[in-house]
Amino acid sequence: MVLKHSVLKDNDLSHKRTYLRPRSGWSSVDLKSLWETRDLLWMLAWRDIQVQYKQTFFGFAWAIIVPFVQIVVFTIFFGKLLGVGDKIDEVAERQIPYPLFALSGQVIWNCFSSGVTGASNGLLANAAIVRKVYVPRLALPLAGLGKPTLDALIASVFLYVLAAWYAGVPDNDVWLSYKLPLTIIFLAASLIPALAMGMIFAAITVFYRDLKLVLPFLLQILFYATPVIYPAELVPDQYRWLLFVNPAGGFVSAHRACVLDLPINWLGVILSMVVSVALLIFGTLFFTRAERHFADVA
Amino acid sequence: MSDTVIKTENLSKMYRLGSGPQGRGDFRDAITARFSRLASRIMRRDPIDTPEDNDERTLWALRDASLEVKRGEIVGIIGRNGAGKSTFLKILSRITDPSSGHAWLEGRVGSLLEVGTGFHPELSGRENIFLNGTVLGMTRREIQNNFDEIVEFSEIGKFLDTPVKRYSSGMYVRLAFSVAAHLQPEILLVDEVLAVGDVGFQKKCLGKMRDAAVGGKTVIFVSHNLPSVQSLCTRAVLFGQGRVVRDGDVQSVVQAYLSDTESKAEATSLFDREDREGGRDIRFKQVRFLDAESQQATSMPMSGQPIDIELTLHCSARRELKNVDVGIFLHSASSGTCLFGCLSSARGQTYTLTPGDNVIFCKFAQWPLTGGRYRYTLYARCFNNTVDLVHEAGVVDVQSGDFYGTGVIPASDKEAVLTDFEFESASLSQSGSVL
Repeated sequence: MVLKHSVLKDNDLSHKRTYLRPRSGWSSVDLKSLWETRDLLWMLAWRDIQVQYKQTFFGFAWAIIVPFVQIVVFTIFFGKLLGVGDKIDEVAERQIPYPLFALSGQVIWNCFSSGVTGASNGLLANAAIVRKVYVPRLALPLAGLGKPTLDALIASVFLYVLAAWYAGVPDNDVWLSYKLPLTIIFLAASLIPALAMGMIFAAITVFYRDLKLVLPFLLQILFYATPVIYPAELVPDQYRWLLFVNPAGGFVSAHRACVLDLPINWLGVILSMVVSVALLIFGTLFFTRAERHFADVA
Repeated sequence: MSDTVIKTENLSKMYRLGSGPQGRGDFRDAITARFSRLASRIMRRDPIDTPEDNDERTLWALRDASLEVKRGEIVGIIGRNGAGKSTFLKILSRITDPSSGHAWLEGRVGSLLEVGTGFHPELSGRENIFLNGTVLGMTRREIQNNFDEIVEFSEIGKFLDTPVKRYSSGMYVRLAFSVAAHLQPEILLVDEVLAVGDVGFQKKCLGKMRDAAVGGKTVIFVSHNLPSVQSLCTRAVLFGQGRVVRDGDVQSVVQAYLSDTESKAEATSLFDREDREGGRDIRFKQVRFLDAESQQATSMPMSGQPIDIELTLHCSARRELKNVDVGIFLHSASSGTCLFGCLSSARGQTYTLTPGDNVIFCKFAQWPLTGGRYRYTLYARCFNNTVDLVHEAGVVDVQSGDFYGTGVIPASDKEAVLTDFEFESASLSQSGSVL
């Protein structure tokens, strides 16, 4: 009798039991169910990529066209007209081609900024899912990073080709650095603050659509506060740390240092990393806390 | 006992209406609300906090719902609009948290609150099977294993690699259903989704659901469609105003629901009923059946007689509303099946409603129903927006009558529709007139 009962119990325990109750305040993050839903994550990221490039003439070439046009514009205005190109040579004490300088910053900046945008759109773009099916909601901003990541990898290939081309021209003071493969690590690192900011924005945007208008504006400001088109050394010593409190700053300048074989500012990288991880922890908790109201509001 | 797979205790859900972070609103509203609260606290103008319960801006969509469901049961949940059925399902499927109370479910839960959730129009049928499948909680491997079966069930065949935006709505629904039908959870939660799709396919899906229950799965099924609840479910639960009103065998619960709507219809006037959909500007106020010749109201219209249905709509907006399409649908009182509907737009007519009362007639040269009891649903829309929809708005008793003028009263052991027709024989076509 007792034995039979326990067998039955055991059988029941093989099923997953889900408890539903009101939650309030901060709660723990369910990383386990996020892991179990990885197939959904891939599918959503894959969908974004498919949808973006279906029915476009240039397809994946857009991932190269965009940074290409950007650096042409930057080279004309900042490199030549505003004389940033000369400043760079002064700082580095050697001839650095401005297009390569700008592209090495732009690739990682695009990865970061479109990562923020992608992650923050994750909820509203999938509002239909949020309202009608339960999925671990963290998967939605996370999946929003898929397309920016792929775009960044394609753009990186372009960056390597450009770097190799400049290195191949004999008169240039540029060579291929053994640090070049490290760029991938910094690209990946830039996705941490992108996800963190994306989650915070995604959560607030569900309640207040105003944030949708604020985000592009904020990214624009952040762009100028990040050493993308100018070297960090241009900022006076006593204020330079501010560039690295900006979570993208350290990664952008380190990414460039790898391409141009300049010394990596590890202090800046660590500072940005600390800020990024802190943002990620806060962002995840904030998102998890706001998440339970999404279906009622979205 | 250990057979219980779902247990809910005092499950409740409260919504805040209007602005503020829970409702729709913008930043400004939230900030001004916060400031005015602060201001009133400082000024001590409003020393007593109004309890949430009595605040008119809160709505209890679900109130103290306690239920226990055992493995293998197919539970039909019925009730009028706003009775809390969908909210109950949303909580069980974890889409939203309860405001109070708690519940547990044992086993893998699959929910189907809408057909084709996550479908993307640009992607092909094949791609959407995988997308929709993972959204519903399947793994890619599970979808791969069931892929051929899903495609076969959906009957879309060669359109598999066509973007679904080019599908007909029927194909779209079939594909979406096929994916959902192959979901293999231990507990399946289904909302009013069978309302779409053609009848043959609906039957196929209902069959699939029944098979699931035979295989030890548990199904909770929300529907307005009483016949499908009666044919599918082993138990029914009636919800009313957010509460569980009745729980038991299907026949008695359905009966309770039908008599409840009757008493409701009598107790509150049509105008004051709150269980309606649509905006608040236009409301059906009164329905009268008139003898067309005398224009006198009749409590029992007779089969075959000319009858006018007088619909009074009250418009409380300040300005007139154009292009309003008005309709009445008649249902069998015993089964709830819709027998026919009359929409003014079907006759090419829409109306401009002016503030105040508007009277519109729906005229029948011959009243087409056999003797018996019927219910009607009232519907008004403006373009594609429902402006007022009242399910089970009232009942009408029909007297048997000599519809065909033959001196014989058509048999009316069932509620049925009579229609004008003629018989003619090809070879003897003239014989009638000669005689």
